[in-house]
Amino acid sequence: MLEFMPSGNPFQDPLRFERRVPECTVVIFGANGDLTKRKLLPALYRLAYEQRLSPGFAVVGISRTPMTDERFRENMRESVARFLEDAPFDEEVWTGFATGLFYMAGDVNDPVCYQRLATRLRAIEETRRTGGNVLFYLSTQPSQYAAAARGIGAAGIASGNGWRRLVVEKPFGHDLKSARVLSDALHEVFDERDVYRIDHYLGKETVQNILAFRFGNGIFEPLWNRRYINHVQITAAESIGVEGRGSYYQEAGSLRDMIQNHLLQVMATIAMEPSATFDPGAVRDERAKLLRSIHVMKPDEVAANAVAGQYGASRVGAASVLGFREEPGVDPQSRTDTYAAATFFVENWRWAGVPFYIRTGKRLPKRVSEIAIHFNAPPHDMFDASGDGARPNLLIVRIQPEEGISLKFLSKQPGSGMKLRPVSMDFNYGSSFGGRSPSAYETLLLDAIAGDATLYTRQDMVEASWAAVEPIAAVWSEQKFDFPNYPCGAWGPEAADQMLARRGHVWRKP
Amino acid sequence: MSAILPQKVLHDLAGLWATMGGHADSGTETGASAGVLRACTMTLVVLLDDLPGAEAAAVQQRAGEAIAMVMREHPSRTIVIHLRPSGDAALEAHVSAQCWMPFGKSQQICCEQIDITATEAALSDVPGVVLPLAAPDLPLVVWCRPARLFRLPAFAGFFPLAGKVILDSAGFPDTGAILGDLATAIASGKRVCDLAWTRLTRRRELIAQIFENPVYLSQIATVTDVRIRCTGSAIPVSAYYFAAWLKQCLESGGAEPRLQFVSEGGEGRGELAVVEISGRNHVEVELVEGAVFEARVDTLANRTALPVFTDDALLREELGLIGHDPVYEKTVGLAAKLASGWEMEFH
Ligand SMILES: NC(=O)c1ccc[n+]([C@@H]2O[C@H](COP(=O)([O-])OP(=O)(O)OC[C@H]3O[C@@H](n4cnc5c(N)ncnc54)[C@H](OP(=O)(O)O)[C@@H]3O)[C@@H](O)[C@H]2O)c1
Repeated sequence: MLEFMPSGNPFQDPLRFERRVPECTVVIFGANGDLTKRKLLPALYRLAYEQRLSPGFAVVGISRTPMTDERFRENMRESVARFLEDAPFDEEVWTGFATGLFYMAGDVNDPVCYQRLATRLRAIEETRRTGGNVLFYLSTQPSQYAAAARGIGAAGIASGNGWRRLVVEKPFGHDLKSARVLSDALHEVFDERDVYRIDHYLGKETVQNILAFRFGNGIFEPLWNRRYINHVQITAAESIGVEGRGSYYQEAGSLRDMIQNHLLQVMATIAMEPSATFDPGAVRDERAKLLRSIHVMKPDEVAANAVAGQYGASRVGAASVLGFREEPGVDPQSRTDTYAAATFFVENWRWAGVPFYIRTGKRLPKRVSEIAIHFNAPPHDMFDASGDGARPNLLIVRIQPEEGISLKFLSKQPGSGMKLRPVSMDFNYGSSFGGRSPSAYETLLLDAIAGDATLYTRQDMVEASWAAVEPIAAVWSEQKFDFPNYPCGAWGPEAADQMLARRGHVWRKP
Repeated sequence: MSAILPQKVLHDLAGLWATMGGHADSGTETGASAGVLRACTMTLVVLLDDLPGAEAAAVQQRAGEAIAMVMREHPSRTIVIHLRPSGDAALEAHVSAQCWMPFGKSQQICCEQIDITATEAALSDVPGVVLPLAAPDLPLVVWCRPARLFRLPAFAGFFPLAGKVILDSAGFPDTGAILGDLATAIASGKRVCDLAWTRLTRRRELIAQIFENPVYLSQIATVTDVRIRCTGSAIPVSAYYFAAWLKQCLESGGAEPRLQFVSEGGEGRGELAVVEISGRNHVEVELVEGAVFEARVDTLANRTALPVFTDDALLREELGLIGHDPVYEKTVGLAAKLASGWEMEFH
């Protein structure tokens, strides 16, 4: 992370003082949308509740729908009260926080919108003493990102009295080429160091904890290589379907929506080399290096190393559940993958030959995200173990829902004879640290305001991960799938099991 | 103290968890039963006076509540030592669990508590009992609720066990003596902290925030005077701490300030009321009422309501800092000197 605060202030006591962030205005484009309601405003409110934001903090929401400041505040109040996670809603804190919320009806494609924004920002800078610091947050449809950046640039508000930064939500393009086009458009107005590409997975406490676990302890790193690790499974399963976002999802699919960004970032965190320091540049360099070391599949390698799936209608519990093609807004012939699994290899000394299996999907049996590290079996089996007793060691990092780490190992069953049984040693994040962990958006928003980009994705990382998934996407776009190929509530298509079986492996059932 | 058998207490603890269903499911995915999760990150030893009377009972109850609140952030094996002024050497030890349901979760988290009753005369035996009962390989922190115990020779036995000793000098009648003891303990490498210092964190932070402004920061060397205004008939420990801290910070910023304590009048134990820092800019932080502070810089004024200083909030802050605390360690020596210095009379 960055230095705690600008140094030179002799009154600072970094051990005890909260990290304070400078005053600023957050401008949200797409403030009438789902993300603002569910994630951004609840996170900002929570930061205000914890007194992490400065008193002059302000938000300007922009969307096309006409609304007064008052109406916007009322809408946001409802959303915050509804979507606040693991924390109660405090009316008094809200009242103070809401005085800094403003709304402007405008279209990101309309130059006038930015002129009005410029006037508004000047007024807010004056009345709330924000020092001219502005964080622009693009939460509209991705096709409007470039227009928004250009609009900001043309109106002359990409620079000002304070700092100006741009936060971009995924997806960062839909392939390598479009990712570069998007970056070029953003770079016309903002330097790369001021572009914050958000990947909320990296903001999750457990994902950050992977670094602490790996590099803060001496006992794991010596085992962290091809000699001891047999393979790694990364799972991000959702039990829900597309929940009304069918038309968005149809364009993306799970490979692009989850693997290209979140899960490859998780893989990079698991597999990267230790950086010399914990500063944003160094950590991101190592992540980027790992992503660049992922073997880029040739077209003829895709069939054996990647599996696409789409859920079909089924009964889950006592209820009938629609198939993807029957969801509202979805093309009845859609070929979109609602499930994707892939085998990646890292071409370096540490990981050569170790498969990294990644899978993600909708309408799987439960919501779970985890990393399972399968260690090699002992070289000689003196107990003649079979069945359960033959299971090798497994280290599981649970990202959600119950964040924690478990180590599975074998133990003798009580009684006569030498029967082995797997047992689990568990660390549960929530119970050991009590209190409340900040949500990913709280962490990331605070970091962006503080100018700390450690947990943000950089352009070279985006390009490296597109390079890894693009061959798969290219082959799939030409392929005819027999969709649907898994029923709601199952662990994906059979072909995904076969992909692992080829190397003698089996998917874990978390 | 010989009547307390550590093995028996540990056995009772194991039995407690067995009854709560904690161990029946140790082979499950999360290592927890559906209802209860056992958690422990340290051993917290709490020394409490066990005196008769309603006032003493209220103090005990407040301490109990503070422990219960602290467990949520720092789940610990708590060993509470109830010290009676006289009576049988060792009366009893019993075990219990503190459980709570985290907000929005369906599983209770539980911590274990061991209560031991002893006499003050047997204080030197207590560390020997605590040692085998402490959770292995985890830090041990001693909260010495009555500050006077810290000054007893028998207390020395806790230092080898404790990663940290917490006390509260605020209520202690002889400010100079307790600050002197704290400074000596720290100079000899012991980790001790004082909740009277912890209470100042947010107020110190207000000052630090003011000097985040580059204009004020650049003027630090022009500071000539620091005035600490207090209520009450004697200078409170908080005023010595604040003065010492300010002086050191300002000196490291190139200033050579004069220090003055000013009485605002009033009887009894006073409070730190206003802090003034004068140079090219004039900075004041005033306690307006309750926990509301007003920060004034020249003509600008800003009010802030700080969180109320409950025992559990203070303890939580200290338990989150198990290592060295360089700022406090640097400050306490000077605070002790100020408290014993002749020039620090009220003006
Ligand atoms: N929702 C999530 O959980 C999530 C997660 C990760 C990433 N994302 C990404 O975050 C972005 C926003 O997602 P979302 O779910 O909030 O989308 P959304 O619900 O569709 O919201 C976008 C909002 O933008 C406004 N808008 C549309 N066109 C506009 C224009 N020309 N000018 C100004 N405002 C316009 C719309 O409000 P008006 O109709 O009032 O203009 C709309 O409410 C997307 O890029 C998405 O990929 C979302």
